[in-house]
Amino acid sequence: MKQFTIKLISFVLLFLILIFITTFLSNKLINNANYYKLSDTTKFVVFGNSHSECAFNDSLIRNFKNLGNSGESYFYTYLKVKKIISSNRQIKNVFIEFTNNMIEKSIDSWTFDDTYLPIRIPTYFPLMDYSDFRLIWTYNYKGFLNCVPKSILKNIGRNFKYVLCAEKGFNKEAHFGGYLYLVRDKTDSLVNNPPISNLNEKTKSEISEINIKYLVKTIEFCKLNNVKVFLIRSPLHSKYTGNENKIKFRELLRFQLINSEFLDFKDFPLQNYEFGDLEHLNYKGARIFSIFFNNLLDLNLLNKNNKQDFINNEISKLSFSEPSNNVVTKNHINKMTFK
Amino acid sequence: MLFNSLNFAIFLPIVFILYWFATKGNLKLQNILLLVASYFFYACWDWRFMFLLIFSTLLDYYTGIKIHEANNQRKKLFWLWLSIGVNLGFLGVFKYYNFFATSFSEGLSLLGLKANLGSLQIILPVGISFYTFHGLSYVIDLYKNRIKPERNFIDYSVFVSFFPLLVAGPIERATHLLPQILKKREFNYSKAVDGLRQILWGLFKKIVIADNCAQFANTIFNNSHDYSGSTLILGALFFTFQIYCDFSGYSDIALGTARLFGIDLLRNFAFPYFSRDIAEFWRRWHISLSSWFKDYLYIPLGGSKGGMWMKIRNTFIIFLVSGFWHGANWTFIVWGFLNALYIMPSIVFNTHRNNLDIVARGKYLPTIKEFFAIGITFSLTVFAWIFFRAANVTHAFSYISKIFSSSLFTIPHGIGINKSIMLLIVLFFIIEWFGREHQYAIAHLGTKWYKPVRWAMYYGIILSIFYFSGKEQQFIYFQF
Repeated sequence: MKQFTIKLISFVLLFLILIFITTFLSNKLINNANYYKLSDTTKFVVFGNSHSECAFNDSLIRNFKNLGNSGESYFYTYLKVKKIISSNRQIKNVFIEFTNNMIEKSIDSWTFDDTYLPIRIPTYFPLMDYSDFRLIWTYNYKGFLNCVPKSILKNIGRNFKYVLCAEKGFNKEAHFGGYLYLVRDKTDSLVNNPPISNLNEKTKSEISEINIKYLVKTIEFCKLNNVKVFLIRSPLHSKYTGNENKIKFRELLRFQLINSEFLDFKDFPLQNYEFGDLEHLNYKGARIFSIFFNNLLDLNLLNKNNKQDFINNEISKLSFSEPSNNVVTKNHINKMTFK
Repeated sequence: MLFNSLNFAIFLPIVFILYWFATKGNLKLQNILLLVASYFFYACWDWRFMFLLIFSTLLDYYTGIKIHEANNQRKKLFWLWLSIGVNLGFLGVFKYYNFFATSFSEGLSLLGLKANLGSLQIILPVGISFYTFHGLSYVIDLYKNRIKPERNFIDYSVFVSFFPLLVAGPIERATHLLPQILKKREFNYSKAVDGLRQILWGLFKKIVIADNCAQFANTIFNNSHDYSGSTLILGALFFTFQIYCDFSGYSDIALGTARLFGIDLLRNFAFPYFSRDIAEFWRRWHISLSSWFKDYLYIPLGGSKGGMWMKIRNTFIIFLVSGFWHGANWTFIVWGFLNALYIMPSIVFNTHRNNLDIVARGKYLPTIKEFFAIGITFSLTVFAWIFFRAANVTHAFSYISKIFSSSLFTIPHGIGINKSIMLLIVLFFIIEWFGREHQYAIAHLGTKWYKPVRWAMYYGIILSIFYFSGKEQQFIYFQF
């Protein structure tokens, strides 16, 4: 019995020690390497969920990097922003997607659910500290435990790949997202058969405290590091139903997020075939929007006093007919392309 | 409390430490602890059904004593049938009421009559089919004078409710388990180590193979109308691996856990997919249930003593009852019937005991004849599993008809199979093949290796369990 107990304890201890050492070394390597170093010319970065992931084609915007990622909650955005800002001191302006769905309580599932944890934890494991681990543990300890060995093994693999790869700058192994070239075009069918909102009265009134808390933390972190944060709402189709919580949305902007400016592109005029669905631009829409956004940056948008008026004014120049119907003429698209 | 849960990972060491350290080898205390732990384990599912478990235990305990004390055959029979009637009555109500009510109503409507018995919102108490069969084997063995009644209620209750086997077997016999519960148990180092290895292998089978196969099998079976014939074959294969690894994985964990407490349970699986005929398959698949039906149904019905027709009739009866035991659905009955058909040639030509030993003992590979025999048996089994898995008989037939369509000759697509998982299944199959002569596949693997290498193997298995853990699925046999 004594022999069994000693051997079993040794077996478990050795396993834990090996895990600890491997994790420590692997995380150290990842954090020390130029893993998250962007090109020196990158001055602007957009973070956020699939809305910005699909809207900003960063190959068409000067000095700009899209690090949006589908299904990303602000908890992970916070970790990502911290790492990117501290590894890229040349960045002085960041955009963070702030859309209606990001304030809903249901978004907490993007942080803690079993569907998302196995994707997120391995990526962010080396960047998480005790309080981050504790938060995940509190909400889903089982999922967290399942992800830890996965994270360790995946990060060892990442390190190997990184050591082997020739280019030592920011690479796809970071899994930090990027522009998504969306091909689909199912807007017409969605307009004809609009999806029923799955928010009931109760959930409509519930706000994700955790998501907002991490958005605020992100903004504070940027401020401490002299980086300006602009909350941004990417173009949405006029039939998009997710903005039922607009009162809460406005209240949040007015009170909790008062210190950051909000740039709204919700009504940017596009045609149905330029949307992948009611809330994501496909590559056609992204092209038009990105060129427009690039022009705005060239026109010194970020130093204007009243940015939203300036944006609206620029948008109104695009629309030859009613903007609310999402109409832009073909001529104008071409005109923008050659601008 | 699932075997593959964190709760069980905490529960088991606590019970283990208390069992060997706190009781100081006192048998009475050990059995009390096992009973409390078992009831706690069961209450974690649904505490309300504990009363049913305790009632069933009390009934068989009491009727057992009465059978033994009865001074004439009539009284013995009365107590025996009382126990059988009440036990099967509970099983009938909880498990089969809705099935019978619906089938009866549908049958009458076919005759143009209208009757609606209505269905009840009945929750199936977990493990009822298993502990009912434990109790039945006890009273039948008492009636047949194979054993003496157990007068200590605690000891008898441990026999019925011992937590490793409580919810999904193996279905134990009083003749095998009770003497172990009554005997003083000493800690045995090699037995405990072997138990841990078997638990590890069981977890690997369940979490890595079964749960990952389940994701593909569920997708394909639930959307079978969208997939090609070749993909549907793949779905049936995934389910074939899922059900084997799920149930034999559970049995491995149960056997390994019991061994940690110094108790040996009946072996439940013996590499059934390497069988050369269906009779051999049934000697290797869910052995404790097959032998239960043989001893308590097939032989009392006359077995093979009454000539060929009697043999055929009894074979069909046990396979149909076995199918029905699995669940209140016609799919299980068809599955049982199909297996009875499969086994018929070997019954008629008296070849059912041709393959008693494991295939290719002492050799690396089977002969070509054995290889084809294994292939044919495996294919028949896969085909029968389609009925077992399908939502209903119509679904099963539409699934099969789609398999045998022109799309059978297309490349399977649309399910996003992970290559690493496929490799793991192949690796698993190879390990099972080379471990087929032992109690479980890794029973002897690496035992003579240098310790660091052996430990590295264990760490590898543990890491793969975490790394490849799919979406946690409940054990299939819990629903039976």
